[in-house]
Amino acid sequence: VDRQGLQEVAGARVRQAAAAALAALLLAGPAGARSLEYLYVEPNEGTASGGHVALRIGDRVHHYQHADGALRSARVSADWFRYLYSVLENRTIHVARVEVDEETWNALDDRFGSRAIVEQQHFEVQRALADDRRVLERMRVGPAANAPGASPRLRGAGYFFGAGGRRSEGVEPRLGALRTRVRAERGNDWLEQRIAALGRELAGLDPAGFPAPALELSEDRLPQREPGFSERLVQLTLLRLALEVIESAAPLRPEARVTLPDPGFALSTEERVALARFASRLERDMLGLLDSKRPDRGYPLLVGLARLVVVDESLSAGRWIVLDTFPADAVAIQADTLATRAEFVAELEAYTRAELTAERERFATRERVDERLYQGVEDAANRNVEVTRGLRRGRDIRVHGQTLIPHGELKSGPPWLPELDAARLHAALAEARRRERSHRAALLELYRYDLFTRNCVTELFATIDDALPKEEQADRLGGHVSLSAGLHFWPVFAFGAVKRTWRVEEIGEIPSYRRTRLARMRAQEHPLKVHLREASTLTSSVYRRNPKDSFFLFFTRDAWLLRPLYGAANLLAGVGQTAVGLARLPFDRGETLVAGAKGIVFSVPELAFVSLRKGSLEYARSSEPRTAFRTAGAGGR
Amino acid sequence: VRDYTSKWVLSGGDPAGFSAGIAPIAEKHGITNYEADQVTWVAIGMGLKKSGIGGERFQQVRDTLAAGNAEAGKWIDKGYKK
Repeated sequence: VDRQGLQEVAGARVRQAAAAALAALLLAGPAGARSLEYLYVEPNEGTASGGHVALRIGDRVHHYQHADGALRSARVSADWFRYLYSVLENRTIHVARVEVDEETWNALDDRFGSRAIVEQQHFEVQRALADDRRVLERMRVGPAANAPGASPRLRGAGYFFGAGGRRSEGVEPRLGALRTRVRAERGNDWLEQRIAALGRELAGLDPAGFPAPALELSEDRLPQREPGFSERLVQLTLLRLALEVIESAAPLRPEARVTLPDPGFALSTEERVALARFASRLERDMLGLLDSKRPDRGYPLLVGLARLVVVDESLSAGRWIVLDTFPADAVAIQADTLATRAEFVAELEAYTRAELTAERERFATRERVDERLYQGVEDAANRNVEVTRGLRRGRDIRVHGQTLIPHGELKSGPPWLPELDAARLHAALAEARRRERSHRAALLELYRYDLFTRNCVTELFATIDDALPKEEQADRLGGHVSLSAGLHFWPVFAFGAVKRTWRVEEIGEIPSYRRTRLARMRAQEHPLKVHLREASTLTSSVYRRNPKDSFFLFFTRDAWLLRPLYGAANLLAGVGQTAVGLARLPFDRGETLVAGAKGIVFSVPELAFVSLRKGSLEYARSSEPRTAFRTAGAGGR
Repeated sequence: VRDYTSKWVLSGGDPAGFSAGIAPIAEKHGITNYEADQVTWVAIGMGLKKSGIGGERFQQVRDTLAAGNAEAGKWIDKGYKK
C-alpha cells in the first residue's frame, strides 16, 4: 500500500471538513482574545523518535521539518496537522494554550508566514538550477524529442501534443473559430509571425546569457526570480505550442478528456446557461492572454484552449466533459489494495460524488462564473470518475492531495532546443553544475538541519524571537524560553519549559487514534477484555500491520508496568523477524530484514520503560471517532 | 498572495520575478490565469497596502503590475483600500 497515497486521499477528504471544525474551535475560545497553541507531539519510531513541536496560530499550524539536510518550514491547516499526527501517525499531541493580544498574534503570524514564503522561493531557485543542469544534460545526449522522460515539465502541452510535440490530425472547430477571430483582429499573419519570432528566440537561447543567482541568501529577503535558462526555455516553448494550437486549430488528444458517464451527470438548464457564459468569458480571457506581458502565459493559454474545447463538447453532448487534470506522476492506490478496503472505497465514492454535486450546484447558481468555480467542478469530476471507474473496472485509483489544476504534461522533453556547439554546451553544463552546487551550499548554510543545535524546536523559538523582541516576551507571552538552558532543544523538555515560562491558560491533549478508540471500547466492554485483545498487534482490532512500521508484537505506550516484559517479547520478535528477513533477502528487497532490525532497535528502550513506538495507520475512516481537543486542567504558572 | 506581494515589495519589487512567485500560489487556489481573476488582484492590492508603500511609489508599483490592464488597476485599488 502506498501510504502517501492514502494520506493524500485522507488529506483531500478532511480539507472540506476543516473549515467547519476550525470555526467551531475558534468560536469556542474566549471572546475578545486571540490564542496561540504550542503543540508537542509525542515520539514515534524512526525520524520521529525525538518528538515534534509546532505552533498553531488561528487555523494554521507552523512547524519545521528535516528534509534532505535542510530544515524546511511547513504551514498546514490545523485539522490536517491533527489528522496526520494524532490519527495516521497515532501520536498524542499535547497542547498549551496561551492568550495573547492582537499585536502579538499578528507579529507571530506574519513572521512565520514570511519565513515560509522566502524559504519557498530560495528552494524554487535551487529547483530551477537543477532544471538548467538537466536540460543541458539532455542536450548533450541528443535531440530532446527522442530522449526519454519529460524534464522539465511542459504542462498543458500534453492536451494537444504527443511525444516529440506531434499533434493529432484534424481540425477542432471551436479553435478554428478562435483562429478566425484572432486573424480578423490582429491580421492574417499575426500568429505565424509570433510563432516564427518565438522559434528564433528559442534557437538563440544562450545559457551563458543568464546570470548566476546571488549566493548571499537571507531569511528576510526574497531572492531575485528572473527566469533562468530552462525556465525561459519552458516559457517560450509553451507559448509557441499554444500559438500553434490556435494557428492549426489542433484537436484535443483523445486521452485528454474525461466524460461523466452516469445519466445523473447530464447538464441541467442552469448548468447549460452557466457553461455558455463561462465559454464566452474563457474566449475573452484567452484573447487577453495573447496580449499579456506575463512571461509564463503559455501554460494558462494551453489550459484555456483545452477547456474551450471540452466546454463546447459538454454543451453539444448535454453532459459534463472535462479535462483529465491528474499529474503524470499522480500517486495511485493499487487495485489489489482497494479490493481489501471495500468500506474505504465505498466511503470515498460517496464522498467524491457529494463533492461533485456541491461544486456543480455552486457553478450553476453563482451570478458570475469564473475559473475558480469551473475548476471546482473539474477537480471534483476528475476525482469522482477516477474512483467510480476504478471500482467498476478493478483498476488503480489515482489520487492527489492538492488542488487539481490541469496538468496535461507533454510525455517528452522540449521539442525544440537552442543551437549550441559542443564546446559551448560543455562549458554551459560545467557552469550549470557549479551554480547548482554553490547555491545548494548557500541554501544549507542558511537552512542546515542539526539534531541538537538547529531542529524543529530551536527553529520555532528562533522564529518567535525574530517576531518578538526577547525583552517584550514577558509581557506578550509570559516569559522568554531560553534554549541555552538544559535540554530545551528536545521537544519534551521544551514543552515543559513552555508550561513553566509562558502565560499558559490551558493544557490540553489530543489523544492518539489508538488511545481514543481504546477509551471508547473500555466504556462498552470490560477493560481487561479490551486490554487482552488490543495489547498485541496480532489481535488488535484498531491496528492493521503497516509495512512502514517496525516489526513488533505488543503496544507499550499504555502498559507502563508491563513495558519491559512486552519490550523483551518485542525484542525477541524483532530478532526472529531479522532472521526471517535474511532468508527472504533475495525475494523482498530487504523489507522484512529492515522491519526486523527496526523492531530490535525500538524494543531496547522499552526494556528501560521508555516507549517510542506507537504503530501508525495507513488509513482511518473519517467516521471514526475524531480526536477532540479536551482540557486536562488548568496549567501554567 | 497578499503576504507574498508584501514581501516582494519589501525585497525590492523586481517585476521580472513577480509572476514566478504569484502563479504557483494562485494555482493552489485553482487559478491558472490569475490576470483574469479579480480576487487575485484584490489580494495583490492588499499586499501593497501591507508593505506600507503609498503615494508615488504605490502608483508606480500598481501600474507596473497591472501592465495597462485598467480592470486590474481598479481591483488593486480596491484591495489597497481594504
